[in-house]
Amino acid sequence: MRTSAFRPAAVLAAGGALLVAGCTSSGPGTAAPSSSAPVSAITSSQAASHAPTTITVWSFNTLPHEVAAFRKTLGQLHTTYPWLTVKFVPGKDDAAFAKAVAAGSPPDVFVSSTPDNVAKFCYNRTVAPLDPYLKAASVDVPKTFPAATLVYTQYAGKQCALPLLADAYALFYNKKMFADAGITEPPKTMSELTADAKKLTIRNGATIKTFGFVPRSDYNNNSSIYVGSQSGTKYYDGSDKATFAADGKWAKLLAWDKDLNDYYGGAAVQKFVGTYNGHSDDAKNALLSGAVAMEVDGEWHVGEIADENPNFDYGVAPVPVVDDVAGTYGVGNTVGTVAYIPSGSKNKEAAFFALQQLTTNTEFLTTLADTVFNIPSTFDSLKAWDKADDPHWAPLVKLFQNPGSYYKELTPAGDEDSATFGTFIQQYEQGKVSDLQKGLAGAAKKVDKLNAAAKG
Amino acid sequence: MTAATTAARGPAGVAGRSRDSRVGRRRDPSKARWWVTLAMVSPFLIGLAAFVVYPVCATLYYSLTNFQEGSYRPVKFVGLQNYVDLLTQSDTFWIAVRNTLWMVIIMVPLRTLFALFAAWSISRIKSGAHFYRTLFFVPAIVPVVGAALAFIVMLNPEGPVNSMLARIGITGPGWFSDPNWAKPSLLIMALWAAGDTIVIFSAAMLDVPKELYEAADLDGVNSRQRFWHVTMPFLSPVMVFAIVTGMIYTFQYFTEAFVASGSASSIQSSSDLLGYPGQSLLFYSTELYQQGFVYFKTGYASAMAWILFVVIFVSTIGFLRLSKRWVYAAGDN
Repeated sequence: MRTSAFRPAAVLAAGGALLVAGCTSSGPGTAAPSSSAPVSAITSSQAASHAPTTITVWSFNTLPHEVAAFRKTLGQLHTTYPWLTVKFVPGKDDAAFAKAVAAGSPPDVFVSSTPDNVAKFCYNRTVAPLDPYLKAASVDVPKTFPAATLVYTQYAGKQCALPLLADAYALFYNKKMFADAGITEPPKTMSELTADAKKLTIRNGATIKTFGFVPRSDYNNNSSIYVGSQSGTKYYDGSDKATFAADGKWAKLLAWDKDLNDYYGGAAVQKFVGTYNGHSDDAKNALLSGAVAMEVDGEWHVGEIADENPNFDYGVAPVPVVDDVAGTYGVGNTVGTVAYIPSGSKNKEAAFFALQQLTTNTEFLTTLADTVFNIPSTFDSLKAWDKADDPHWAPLVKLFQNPGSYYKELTPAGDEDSATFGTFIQQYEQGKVSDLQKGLAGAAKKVDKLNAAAKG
Repeated sequence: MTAATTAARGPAGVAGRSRDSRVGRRRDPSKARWWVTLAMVSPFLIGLAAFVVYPVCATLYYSLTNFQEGSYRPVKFVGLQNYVDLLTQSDTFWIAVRNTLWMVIIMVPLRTLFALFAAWSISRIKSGAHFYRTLFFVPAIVPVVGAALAFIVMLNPEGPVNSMLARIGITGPGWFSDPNWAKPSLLIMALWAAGDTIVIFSAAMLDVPKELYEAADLDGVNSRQRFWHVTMPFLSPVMVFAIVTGMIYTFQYFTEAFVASGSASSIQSSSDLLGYPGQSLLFYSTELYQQGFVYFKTGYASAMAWILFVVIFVSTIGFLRLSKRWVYAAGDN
């Protein structure tokens, strides 16, 4: 009797014990794939007769023409090197990538839309440092990729990813409105931007028919104004501490932002942002529809305008800088798509071979740049690109190559630092921060804590 | 042993064995049944173990570590540090808590009262009640994402709702794009989609015995007294059900806020998107999602999940206990 009563319980208990063991023994944080093996690269002579290999490439791209461009290039790669078969999987983001890594089945190459997790993935050994492969393949990184791209693909001296096309943010302005207002050239400093914005503003009674410039940080791509390049500020000092309070130029940038928002009035700006934020990339865009005379946008906007309103007369110029650093005018926020090799890839050499083709092949980069309206990300592809001299593209290419252009420093906290600072800026814009300096100190303290925790 | 006794037992070695074996058969199944039963229920048990027990167990363990998804760094046991950090260090956690509580305290009662009022109104319609019941119920079967997108279009600052308001001289707000109006916009959507609760209230109203109404009429009660003293007691268990399920749903409120934030923002990245505008739509589940799936802080997000579980559990138990004071159960005086 006792036996029959206790057997089921014993079996269930055993099952439960197994479960608990499953929960607590292996679980997360499995050992990193060995990196002690000697690294080699597939040379052109080896590539001619290599054992058949299949690799998987994941990319964030989803639009049919973008996916087609990838498939075409990877198909050409297979034609040139029949031993290499590439399985291309579009529509994968960083979250899907992290899940695949955690599950032990990462792709061999991952193309991400954002570099925000480069430092996190590198620090956590999620991705393999590429330096040994670059060295083995004799790729001279500084001579291959513009300096702006290295800022967001390196961490702690390691090349954690390679750039695959780049973005540059600039001021797009309506030339006719400029002429009507008697403005002959785009503004170079924030003071000039404010003055021009006021001249360009057209009021219609109590409402505003045309805004000169709306600086609110959550509008369209304005967040790129607040990453440091336009204020001559870096997120972190030499001790990796946030500089928001220590560097007074941050406060000057935010004061400029608030002054111009206040000029229009919070309600008017709110209505504008609410109406046009959802139309950043379509024909109802505020610049195209005449609701604003100037706005900050990425280089892809050139392509969008060409598609949606080819007769629109507009100019492109660098985003103005804070008056204190007027001499740096011409710099900009630059960022881009990045490509990784996961530490867990079973075919790292073949993966690097494919990665090298994707990130350095001039024809692929220029074709893909034309397809997705981005900037090619190698010196060679920039030289070969037929749009580099186009009056709309040229200022973007120039600021991309400006040695003073940069993206914010990356940390193992991912983009939680910029999200935290961005939230603070929005609160300031909403009038929820009474003491700017104190608020900046608080935001810096939070970001420092995040970074410390990310390294914990 | 006597012969009679032996005879009564029947032929030795036959009837005895037979009876013993029958008895054995009766016993054996009961002895064997535990593993047969276990085998029969094993599909459920395996599913329960793999998809409930293990994840629950795992999240509890993760919540005590600094585990980050996709990381190969050694996982450190940090004890209750994630819980302490959440409660004492995180601003976004408390913003999410405040926003979620706003929805629980404002939206759940309003939605329940609205459903009650709608059901009562439908019950008074002489003809076409089925039509109105269907009309109210249809929004509840519209996919949440589709409904959210439709509301975002309608409540665009330049959209049809504000255009109609402008015609009568009212300047419409920014709705989903305005931090002050984003949550009320979700509230309007929740009321629109209250059809499921309306149907339950309608069914409960039909269950109220007609004799009670007749007796009340004979006593000369007015319609208010009739509702409060006859209808409401019968609806009170349904109301508890609506509030408890509404509370649990709202504590985990995610999809509507996620879609609304994404559509209102210019979407630079996932972290800019969640909670937009101005973190007014950052709810507990969206913050949990952000920590777990945008920042990959699995340990931290697991701690959030456990806090949410405890809060929902305690709130539900607490509300059910409180509700005993005013819920009418059959047989009560």
